[in-house]
Amino acid sequence: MLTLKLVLRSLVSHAQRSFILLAVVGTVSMLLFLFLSFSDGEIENFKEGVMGIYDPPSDIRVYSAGAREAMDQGEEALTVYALALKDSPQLMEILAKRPGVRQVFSPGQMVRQDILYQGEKIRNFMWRALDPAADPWMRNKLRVVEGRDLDPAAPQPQVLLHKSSKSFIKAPVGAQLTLIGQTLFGQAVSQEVQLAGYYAPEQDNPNLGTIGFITPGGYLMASGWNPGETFALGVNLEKGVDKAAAIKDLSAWSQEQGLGLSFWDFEKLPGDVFNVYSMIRVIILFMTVIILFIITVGVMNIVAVNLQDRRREIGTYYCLGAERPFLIRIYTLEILLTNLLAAGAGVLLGLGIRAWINALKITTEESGLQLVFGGSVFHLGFSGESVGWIIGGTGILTVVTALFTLGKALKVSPVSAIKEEEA
Amino acid sequence: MKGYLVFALGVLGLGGLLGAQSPTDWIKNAEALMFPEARATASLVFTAQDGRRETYDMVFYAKDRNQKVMVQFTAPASSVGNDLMMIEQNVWYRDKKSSRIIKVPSNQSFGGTGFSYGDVVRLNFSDNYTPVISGEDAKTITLDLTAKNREAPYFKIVLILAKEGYPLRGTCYSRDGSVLKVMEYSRVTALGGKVKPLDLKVTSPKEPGNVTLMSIKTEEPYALDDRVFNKRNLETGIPTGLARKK
Repeated sequence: MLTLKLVLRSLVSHAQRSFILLAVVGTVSMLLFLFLSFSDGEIENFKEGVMGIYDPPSDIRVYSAGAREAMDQGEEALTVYALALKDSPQLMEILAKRPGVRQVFSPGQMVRQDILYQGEKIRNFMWRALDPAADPWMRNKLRVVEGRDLDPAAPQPQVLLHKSSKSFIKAPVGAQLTLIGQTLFGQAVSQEVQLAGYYAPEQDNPNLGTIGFITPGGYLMASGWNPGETFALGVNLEKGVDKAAAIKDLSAWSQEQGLGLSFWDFEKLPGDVFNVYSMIRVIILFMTVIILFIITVGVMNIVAVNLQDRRREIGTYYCLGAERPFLIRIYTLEILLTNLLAAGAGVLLGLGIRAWINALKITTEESGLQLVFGGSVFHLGFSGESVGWIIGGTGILTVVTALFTLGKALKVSPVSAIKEEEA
Repeated sequence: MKGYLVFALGVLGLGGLLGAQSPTDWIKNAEALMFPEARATASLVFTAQDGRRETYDMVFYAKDRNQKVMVQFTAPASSVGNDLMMIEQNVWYRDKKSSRIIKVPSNQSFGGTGFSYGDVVRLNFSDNYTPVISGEDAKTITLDLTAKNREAPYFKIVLILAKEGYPLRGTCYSRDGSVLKVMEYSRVTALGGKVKPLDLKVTSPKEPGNVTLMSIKTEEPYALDDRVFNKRNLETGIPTGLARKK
């Protein structure tokens, strides 16, 4: 308590001296926060945007036993898809009734089919089923920029294509296209579809250019799935429910019921594409460490000069009977509180700048920038991990500063301090 | 008189029974004729609608009705060394530049031609299709082959066989009834003691102008040990003694 009182009094009385430290550490914290926010924003954009369309996220993924392992081990597609979940509507119903479960949905499996139009084959389109009324989450990720929305009740299957594909397909809205390729089970398939329109994703990315949406009936033909079949289900939990505990509980229940299901934490499932942004995140964190290291040297100098000017104060403490460990505690706590205050102020300022930049909704059509941003809208994200890095970095900064400055700074003779006082 | 009539009808009936083949017999006999255990040389010519032409010469060893195939390219020079092995639905390809053996999807098209690797090994009629006789005349018999399961390469194939047992034409259909591929067999010749078509032309109404022509040049009955179909042989070649002329 005494230590804290003394530290707080010191901070107030030496406010001017501390201001420089506050300014430096605060500014650096703000910049690092924005830097990490950029990375958070990339990842959020990619998860919600591109990956949200490729593989809609959920808390938990449900597969039939052995299916996920077969996929991760690179088994043949035919072997993997033979392990599909049957009777998925009934499964979804009973899973939705489990305690802690908020929502169950079928994320669907993309199927690759080429487009044949006016004798020309355009290759490697990926197709996802979409019923706009039944899947508002996916539907809200798109804007129909030309033509109209998909109509599952139309007599012929309909498709929506990414607006960028118009430049090379050159098909008008309403045109008849042929989808040709193989089902997920390797059988050759073709079907006539109608082009309902062109869409733009809310969070665009060059990777989405060859993704099309098709009405559910057309998807069944293209994929080869039987009605009611799907490869996996997604489960979203109620707020506050522990994921690991929920997985354990659901696994036990499934075993009890003989359902033959396996439950996986979606965040921990391997995803090749997402790893790129995770790697960028690691690089950014590494750069943060380097910046903190450089800053530490500067902070050490400031603190050393600061303590040099407070020799009389230190000498006075010795004269009053204070011992070295006590002084180390006081000054370390003072440096820590200053740094934490500065870091907190920096993060708060960073949050303000983040909110302002996000409100501007800076958008780009440049594919290169879309890759860098993780989407077409520049977005600064937020994560507890980023704040943790800054606070943790501040703590390390404090420890290193204390270690390298206090040793020399506290080597003050009480006699010389009194002599100065008298003078 | 009555007895004579009964006898005559009985002979005719028995003769009919002995002469009549089931649809499955027709298919199996056609496969035995077309896909013997043999070493063969062949050429594959692909002509694109833009006039581009590619020719591949190869030697291949096949066994178990083309469920096991080892292909060694002899031309063009760029393909020599890029050998292929197909076992059931699995296809391995040796890339000579990287000296690596790569597994490729069986549905991958072979060099942009009308053939996919799977067409060679998976067009196994008797295993994948249920045949029904849908037409017959003096010289030909028409079989409707319906996929037994969704892993069969095509939903339906209408196959016309000559009464001698070899295929004349096959039309492959998608589930929506549209024609995906047409296979026309021609140049019926005696080869290896059997009469069969040596040319197979593949076209698709979806890609008019693209024509793939596979021509068998030679075919010799061979006894092929299962060890011939080993990934290691893609790099080292087939060891002596495992492939013997019958």
